[in-house]
Amino acid sequence: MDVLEGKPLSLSFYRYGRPVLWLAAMLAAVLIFWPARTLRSDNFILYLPEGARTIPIQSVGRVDYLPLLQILNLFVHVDGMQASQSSLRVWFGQNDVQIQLGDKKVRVNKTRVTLQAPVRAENGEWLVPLDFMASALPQLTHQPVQYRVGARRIFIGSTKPGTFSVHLKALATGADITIAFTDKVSIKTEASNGRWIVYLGGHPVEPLESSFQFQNPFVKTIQFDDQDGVPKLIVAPASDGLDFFPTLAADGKVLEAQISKQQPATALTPLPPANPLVAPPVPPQAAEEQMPAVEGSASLPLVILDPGHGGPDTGSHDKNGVLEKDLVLSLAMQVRAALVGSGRFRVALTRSGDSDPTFDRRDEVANVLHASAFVTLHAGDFGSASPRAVVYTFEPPASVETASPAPAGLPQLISWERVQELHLDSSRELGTAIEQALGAFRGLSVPKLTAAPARVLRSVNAPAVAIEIGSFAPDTDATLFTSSSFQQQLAGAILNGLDNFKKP
Amino acid sequence: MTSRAKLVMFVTAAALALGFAYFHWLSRGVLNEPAPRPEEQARAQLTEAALLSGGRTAHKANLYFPSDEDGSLVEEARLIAWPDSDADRIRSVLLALVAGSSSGRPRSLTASAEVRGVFLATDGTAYLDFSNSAVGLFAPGIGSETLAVYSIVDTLAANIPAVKRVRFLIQGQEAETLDGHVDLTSAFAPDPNLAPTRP
Ligand SMILES: [Zn+2]
Repeated sequence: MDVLEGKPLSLSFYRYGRPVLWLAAMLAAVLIFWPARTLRSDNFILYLPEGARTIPIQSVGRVDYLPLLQILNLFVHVDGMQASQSSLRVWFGQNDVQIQLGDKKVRVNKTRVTLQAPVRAENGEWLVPLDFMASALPQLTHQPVQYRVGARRIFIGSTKPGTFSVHLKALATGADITIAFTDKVSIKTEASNGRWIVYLGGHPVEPLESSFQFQNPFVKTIQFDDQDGVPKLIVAPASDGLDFFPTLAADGKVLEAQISKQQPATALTPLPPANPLVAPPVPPQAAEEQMPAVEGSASLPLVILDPGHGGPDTGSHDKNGVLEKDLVLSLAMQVRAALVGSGRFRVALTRSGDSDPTFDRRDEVANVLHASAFVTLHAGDFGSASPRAVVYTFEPPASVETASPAPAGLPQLISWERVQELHLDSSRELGTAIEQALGAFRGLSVPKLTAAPARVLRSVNAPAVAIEIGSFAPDTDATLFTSSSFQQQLAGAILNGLDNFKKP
Repeated sequence: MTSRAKLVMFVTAAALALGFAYFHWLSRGVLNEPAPRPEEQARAQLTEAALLSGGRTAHKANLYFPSDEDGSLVEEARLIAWPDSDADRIRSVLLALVAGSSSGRPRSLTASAEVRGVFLATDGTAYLDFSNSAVGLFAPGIGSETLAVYSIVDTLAANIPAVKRVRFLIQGQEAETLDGHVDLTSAFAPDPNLAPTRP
């Protein structure tokens, strides 16, 4: 019975199963040979002392290969070659290379080198994976080789490649691109197909990143390309009708490029008749840059309070979802109330709502209003040390030598980026005064005044400090810091500190 | 249905399932071609290979981790693979920092931090290109970011004499700050004020 009932099934298998099996076998065969057909044609660039050479890369699956004989021909005169179906030996001078089809291990001058992927043969060419350039080539050429793993270029000889970093600054009517090179370069620019091409000469360049993408209305991408052996940067604008002004600064080490809307060559608009009774019109930009309101009598010293973060930048948060930006804003409001209430200070806030002014904007508020002191408020992670308040002054990143005073009789010139360095002494006095006043706050641990490369203090042209309370982190509870009694006590201590700073 | 028929059906079903799985496996290798970031992948693989093959010698590295209590750095010794080139040594040291402190000190880099690129310029500036994830999980703050930066800078300078200063890049680009506080727009030299203390 069992056998009889089983038969129809196996019969139907033989009737339909075989064609299906054949079909599956053919499908599998197609799939297995598929990868070999996806050959792409990028170039590998060799920078030699006498110039750059390119060799086409053959990508098989996920591995990049280079033709062995083409590589060797660039450096040496091959003396002899012994090839069979599955192996190849090449020798020249005292050197020889032996490779085996399908084998990761190759012999280079009698030593065994294991490559990342097995040797292949494709269209009559012997292919070695890209890492051959790093692991075997130096022993064959007897020349120093600079190769960054994974890169598609190699530098041969004593010249070490430089690199560069890209910084984009968004402006209302355009963008400023700053490209800082580690070595002096020369540039030549041209416009082509709606893109700007900056040819880089002088010193070979190895990019850390070959493509930079921006969320900017003026610039879309900056791409490094040396596929044809000519290193260049390709700048793609985000729209038509933009101008590009590249210049080399800092003795050829910095490329500064301004991208801006083209100025239409219209006739000059007649100036409105001068009318001394009407206030001059506010230029459109100045409207955005209006200064925040200042509270208090004009003769009093002005304190700028800067609640950190704001808007989409929430800062840190505690375990109950209290956001740093909200905590420091409410704290700033308490400090403002204490300072204005004392009748001894004028106060302005860099933000009074949930906005996110840039660091430069926060500093600009202090500089334009001629502040006597700048205090930025933050909450941060101090681990197990809590509650704690730390007062910081600015410290330039240790490699920047501090600004030296100008020779006698000359005005002190300093860039906007480094203006706080002129006030480090008075900032330390302000910091010490606040640190000592906070020290009188019972239960709050206040370590000695410290220095930190805090970005927001960098461009303040006045005594400036940062106060960070905590520990405030995703694993802490900020209930204490949000309480109005804590905030009032802290505000009172900051007022005392400012009082002591004002009359030392 | 008899047990024989059940067996045949079971075997057929199993064969079908296996075939399906095999097809899926095959198609994964084929249909995803070309790989979205072949260079990056190759780089990661090669880096791994370089770390393993180059690390024939072990090196006793001094790692500097942030300390909560006094806002300074604390030294921890660690045996790590020691490749031949300075750039690979920088990677090796950074991987040890990513692995974290053995005595529970705070991290200077998140566990998921990815070192996308390392470049040592001839003037001794090490360019470190981190992924976004290096800062994403980090508890931000003026103090914690300062310590994180100097934990990396001091550790690299202490172990690799060729490193004189460190320039941080995030996703290949210059970043204004690490995570909202510390200025990353210029290079950092080791900070003598945070002179590491032994635990
Ligand atoms: Zn903050």
